[in-house]
Amino acid sequence: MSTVITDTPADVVLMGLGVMSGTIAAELSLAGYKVTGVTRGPYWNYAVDFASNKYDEWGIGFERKFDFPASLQTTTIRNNVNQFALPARRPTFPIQYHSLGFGVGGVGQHYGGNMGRQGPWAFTINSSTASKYGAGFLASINPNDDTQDWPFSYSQYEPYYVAWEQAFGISGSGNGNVNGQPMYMSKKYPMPGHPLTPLGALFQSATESLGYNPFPHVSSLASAPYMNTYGVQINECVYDGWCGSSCNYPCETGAKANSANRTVPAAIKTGNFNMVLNSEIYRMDTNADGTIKDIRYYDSQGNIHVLAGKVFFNGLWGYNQTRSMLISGVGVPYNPTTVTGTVGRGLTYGYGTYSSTSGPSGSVAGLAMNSFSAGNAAGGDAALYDFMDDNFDHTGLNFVGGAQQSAGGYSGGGPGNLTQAGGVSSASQGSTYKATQKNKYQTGGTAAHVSLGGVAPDLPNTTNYWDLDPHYVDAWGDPCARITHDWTPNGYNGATYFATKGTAVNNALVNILTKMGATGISTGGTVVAPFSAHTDWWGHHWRGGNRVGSSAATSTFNGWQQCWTAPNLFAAGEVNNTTGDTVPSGTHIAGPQVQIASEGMQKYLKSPGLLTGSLDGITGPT
Amino acid sequence: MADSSKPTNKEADRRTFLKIGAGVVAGAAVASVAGVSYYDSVIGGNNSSSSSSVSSLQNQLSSTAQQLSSTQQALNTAQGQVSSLTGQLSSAQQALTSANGQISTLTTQVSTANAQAAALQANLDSDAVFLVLNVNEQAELLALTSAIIPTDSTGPGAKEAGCAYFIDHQLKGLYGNDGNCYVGGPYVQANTTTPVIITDTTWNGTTAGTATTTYTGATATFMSAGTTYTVNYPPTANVRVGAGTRYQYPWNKREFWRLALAGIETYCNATPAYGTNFENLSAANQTQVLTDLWSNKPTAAQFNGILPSDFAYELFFMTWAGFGMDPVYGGNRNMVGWTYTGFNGVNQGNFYGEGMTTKQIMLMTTPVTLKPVSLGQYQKGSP
Repeated sequence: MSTVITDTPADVVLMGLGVMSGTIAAELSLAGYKVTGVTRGPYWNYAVDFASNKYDEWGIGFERKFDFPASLQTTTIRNNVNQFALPARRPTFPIQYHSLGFGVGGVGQHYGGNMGRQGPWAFTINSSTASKYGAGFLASINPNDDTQDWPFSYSQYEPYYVAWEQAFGISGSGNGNVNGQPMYMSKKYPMPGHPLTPLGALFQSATESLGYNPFPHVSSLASAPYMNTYGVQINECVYDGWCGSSCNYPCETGAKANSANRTVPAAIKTGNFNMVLNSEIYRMDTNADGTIKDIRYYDSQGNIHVLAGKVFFNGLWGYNQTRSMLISGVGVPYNPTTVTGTVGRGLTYGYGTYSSTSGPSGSVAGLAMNSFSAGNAAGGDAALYDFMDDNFDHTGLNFVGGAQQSAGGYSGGGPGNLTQAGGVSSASQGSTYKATQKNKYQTGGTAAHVSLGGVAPDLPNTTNYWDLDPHYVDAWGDPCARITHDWTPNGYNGATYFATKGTAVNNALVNILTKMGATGISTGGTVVAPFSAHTDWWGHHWRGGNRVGSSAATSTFNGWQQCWTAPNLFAAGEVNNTTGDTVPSGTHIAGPQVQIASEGMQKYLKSPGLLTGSLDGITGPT
Repeated sequence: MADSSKPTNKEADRRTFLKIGAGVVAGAAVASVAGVSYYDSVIGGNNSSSSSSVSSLQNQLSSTAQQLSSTQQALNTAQGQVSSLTGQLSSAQQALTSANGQISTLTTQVSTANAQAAALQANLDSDAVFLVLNVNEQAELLALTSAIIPTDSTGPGAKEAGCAYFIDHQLKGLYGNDGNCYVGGPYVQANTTTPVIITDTTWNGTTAGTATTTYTGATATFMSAGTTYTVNYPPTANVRVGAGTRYQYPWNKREFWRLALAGIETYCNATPAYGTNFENLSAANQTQVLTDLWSNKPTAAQFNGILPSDFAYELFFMTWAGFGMDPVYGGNRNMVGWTYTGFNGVNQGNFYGEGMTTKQIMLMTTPVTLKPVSLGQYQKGSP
């Protein structure tokens, strides 16, 4: 039998110590509160733990040696309620991508670090689409539509972007256009953008000369040494090429932003922060009024701990945040039949919804692409916002949003041999195929391929959701999370428009290719129909499913990131916002939410209860 | 005297001769001078009045003295030459000694290099060991991997890279044991064609959902450009849950591979067009068998209940992984896979003194190929 140990209560209890919780740890301990954070894994010392052993594609990319073991917990997925959801059995790429974070830093230890602000459109998809294209428009293009406005606007959110960027350490030079004007930023990113590859530079100059507003890849990898707003010194990227992308490497210099190298060190320094490692949280207990009483977790010896607190922050990643609330009975579970409840509701997939998009493409002669060298979020490409959000006219179209355009980014970000191995098919045999692999890391010496276009965002509907799987359990006997999700037509329709010769955007993209001096330009091909490929991607970039909103009937959290039914529970993360066009959706968009939660938690500690009123807005315009 | 003191041509010739032959005739010349002295004293003692004779003898003496002087000079010259030659000889001997030393050093180096090469070969040979697969499976897997990545005019293939050893070693370790995979039941195949009836699990003292759930599949629709498309799921409850769920077997990977390898041999022998084990087939037939796997030609009975394309994926994936993963895992031997694909391994631009950084290479407009570096070399800090 396990021994039950009652821990010393804390003012603030953090569930998980990843990117989101780390910020709360720093902010609240600096504000003088006693903070205790609990995480599954160790505290990584990047300079020691990753310095010589990270250059191991098989160990990291396939065996996931620095991640949480998939043997202990998985997720199941199906496409509709009549199907049996199968579990992801492998931990990882290439077949099943599950890679859960492990320890302080969380998934931030191994993510790509792609960043970029989301523009004003995504905050008001519902209302702005209705006012511009008609009240019934969204419902007509998105069956069972369940899109919602965010409970705040871009301009209310903007000061929290600044707070997030200056603390987390974002590298970038600008953020593209909104309706032809540069997106408003009250403060520049703290570090400059990363350098551009030759092709990225060509894309930048060509699109600039056409009147667009290209900008270098926004990244959470430090492009220069920097001391953040919590006084933590950050080292710059060394561009060694073993970074993010498909295999996901931890960073030995600490340039890749996560809680272990940005926020938790500041919290530790205050003396107010208590870190509980190697411990598995399995339940929240509630008081009669619905507020959270304590959390329970297993320590590494199997003992049960009960940790009480005044205010709680659920910083568990992705489906585990939602799952922990469903298991604990916190919030109202979503019911897809009656379309009531909110925990699990509005699930979307925030990243590249179809495997084959076939937009305009062409080749530029004489530019090398040494793709083994640095790439991914370490920079390389230049990007445009001009063909996403509502930055072009959607009158008469059957979709909303669009796609960011970019060129010049190296596929690299990691060796990619495993990507190649994982992408095998019946064609991957014999001398003909083998020859395609010869010198594949030095492509572009004769012609660098450029492919534009893309996929419009997956939209929330009432049939895509999370719940608890009735058949598969984790190593502690609790049910795994179940995903019920199929592509909404919006992504497919947008991709088709981009790839259709003669449409306004297709013409514009072809013009860009022409300006770049590309030859062999194709206006686009047939977009692979939806319902063709989806479930290779299990784990990351799920968005929504536990949304913030302005009504307790349709959202789990209010605009202060505070749970409607459990006012001393706050949360932040991708699952707490909703769809948008910035690809990948990611940390940058959710980051300001944790700054809001920090402010809300401090308000709550001073005066418990549901918070009201609009966001204070640390600085910036109204 | 003057005339006599002046050497005649003959005397000059003789001096020259003496000069040249000094080293050889020096002894004879000295004997000649002694003879003259003896003759002089005898004459002087017996006939002192004979002045012409004395004068003649004096001339002779003078001439002999000159010869002596000349001989002495020749001797000095000769000795100088001997000294010089001795010096040259000594110098040559020193050079020879030095050369011998260098040869010795080079020989040692060659010997060391040979020893290193032998040690490396021994290491390679010790890696070229099967730990899991039996002799029949070894022959089969060597043939399978070589059919996928053949050795050809463009470069080495699976054979040189040791892909079969990579796979075998993985089957022994974490991969073979499903060490980091979720292995809990129930096990439902993605291509099930009948409704799935499942008893629900129990957790926290209650049954999740209803006691038993039947999944029958369904029809879904989606709309695009005003057209409604229908997507059929029935009767397969989960056909849409496709590639991502490819591995839904109750076996670990080691058991899975052995069942499938046996299935391939069963299929090859049972198919009239082949009629023998895979490793005995022609290259064209081997290629065809691989294609058959992807198109699920072998029956479930032949393939031990495994969907052949599931194994084909696993086989192809692991073979290419054996070509591209670090040599420490048993494949990519001598980094032949990396050399073929132009991958740098852990060479970050200066391991062999290339004098570059990956950041510089990222910005370069010309293709750069770095000689690859393995993880072992990187950690050791030298090739």
